[in-house]
Amino acid sequence: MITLDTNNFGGGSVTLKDYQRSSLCVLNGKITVDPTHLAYIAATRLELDLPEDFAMARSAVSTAILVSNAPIYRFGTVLHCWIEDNKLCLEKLTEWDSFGSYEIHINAAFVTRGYRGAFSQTQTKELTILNAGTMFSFKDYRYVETDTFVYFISTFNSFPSYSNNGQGPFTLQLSGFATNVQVVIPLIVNGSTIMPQQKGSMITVGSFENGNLTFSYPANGQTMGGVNSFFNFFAVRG
Amino acid sequence: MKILPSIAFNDFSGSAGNVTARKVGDKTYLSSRTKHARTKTPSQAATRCRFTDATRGYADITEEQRQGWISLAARLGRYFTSSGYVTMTGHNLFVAINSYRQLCGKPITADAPPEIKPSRYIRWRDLWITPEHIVFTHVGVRQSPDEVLLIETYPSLSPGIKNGWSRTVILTVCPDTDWGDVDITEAFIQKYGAPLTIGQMLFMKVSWLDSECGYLSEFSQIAFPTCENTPYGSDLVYTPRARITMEDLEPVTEFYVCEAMDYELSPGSKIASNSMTIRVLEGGSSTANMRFNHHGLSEAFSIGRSYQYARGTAEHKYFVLCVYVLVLNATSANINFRWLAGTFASHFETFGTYYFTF
Repeated sequence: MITLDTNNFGGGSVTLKDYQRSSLCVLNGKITVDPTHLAYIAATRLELDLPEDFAMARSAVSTAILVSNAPIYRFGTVLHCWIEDNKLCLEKLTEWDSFGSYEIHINAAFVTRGYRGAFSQTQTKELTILNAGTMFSFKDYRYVETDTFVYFISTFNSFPSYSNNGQGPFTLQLSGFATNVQVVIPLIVNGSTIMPQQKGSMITVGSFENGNLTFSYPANGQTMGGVNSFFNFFAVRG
Repeated sequence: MKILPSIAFNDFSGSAGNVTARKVGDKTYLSSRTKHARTKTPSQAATRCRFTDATRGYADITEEQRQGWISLAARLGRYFTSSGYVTMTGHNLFVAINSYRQLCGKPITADAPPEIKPSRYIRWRDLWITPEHIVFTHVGVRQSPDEVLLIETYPSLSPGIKNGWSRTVILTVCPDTDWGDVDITEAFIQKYGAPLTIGQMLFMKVSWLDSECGYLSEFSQIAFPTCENTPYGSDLVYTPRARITMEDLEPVTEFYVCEAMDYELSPGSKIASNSMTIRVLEGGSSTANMRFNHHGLSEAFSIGRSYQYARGTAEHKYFVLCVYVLVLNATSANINFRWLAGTFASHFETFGTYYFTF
């Protein structure tokens, strides 16, 4: 775990789970942003100071997910996120500021560039859905497991929707997924309907524990979920 | 008509014709006057311009400012330039510092800098000096945003020349490295009009120069003969980075336009970091492959794909998509985008760091 005590947007201290090497880092955690704070209003991008001994001073672009406080659907989007001059930097988008404090979820890898040399093929690992049926079936997925972190992206042919399956909670039970991964992830769960004046996509937040993913939909989230849902994340093990 | 006194006169000083005499102590020294070469390349003209501007600038500063330069020069003693030590005067220091500041795009400063930040040596890991590539890799990071890489070169015309350090001229100023890479191939060809030839010795002086201070002090001296591979005897063939940029791409097809492309692989085993923008034109389909030919990867790569977040641009409401990016580099070489999940947007950017898998 690393603690980021200072930032340029008036936020509190942030704790992130970390895997650090000079050329590859993985970070997991959540940042809360108050868009009414004067420091936030003045900032052109969000910067959090990394510990002085952080292994990577600069990274290529990575991602974070903005999860707003918009009623019911928590609309949000993907943000640019990167490391620069020993700071964790985030793109500032103000589209959802009017809904009050919002969350930024970081479940991402950070790499450096300029590598010349041989590469080995990335080994993926198969997963099995234990409770497959009408609710869950994979469309495309890739799961990479290392000793220290995992990477998992999945799209679905079947996925719970509010209109068919209600609010939940739902659990995606997996065989083969590392049981020592505990991570909270945003799920992109925009159904086929676009709401009037909608900006961003509908998001719910789920958590992996003991190799299973659990999530639910908010009350009245009629158009959420279904086959266009997906997630994509890196997570530190242990 | 000028009447020339005999050179036997001990107290003569002045110039006549091409001869200048100056008296130092009890002795009179005669020297031929240097005639200005009228041949002028653009870079020579620029250098003379900077020098002239800096020299004239010294005449325009106040007496107090002049004393500041004189005082700083006295503290420095002798000044180490790229052509050796010279005795420091306020004028010398003003011209030297302001010449380098101008080279770095900074205006002339009338005030002597309160603090001298001397240039420093560079560190690097690999260096190719071949006819096709003059490239440093893993050059250490700059210590401040003001630092730039100052590179002087002299490509010896004769293999017999063993010391070309006094003949180097400024080749380029690099604001920063490209992830540790410094590729001066293009700058070299622009300056000298032709690439290096095998066996040709290249003398280089390279330093991290603080562009605000403009004080050249230390620099790395690097000289190697041009060869086919790395000059370090390990015979390492030049290996390009595994990346695709806009320069490597045919960005416009009938139905799709790639507006931005920056794709690179890093080890671990293969991880793609990238930032790309795609626009779907009229007639383009959300379910089709958006395919662009490229020539950006070496033969070592055949196929791979990354599954990525993407988002609609602002006019497309920042909708979040999942796209896969398939890179082919075998019988055909193209990069393909396909919408997999989320809400499709016909103008989207995809970016981030993802595993590159089959």
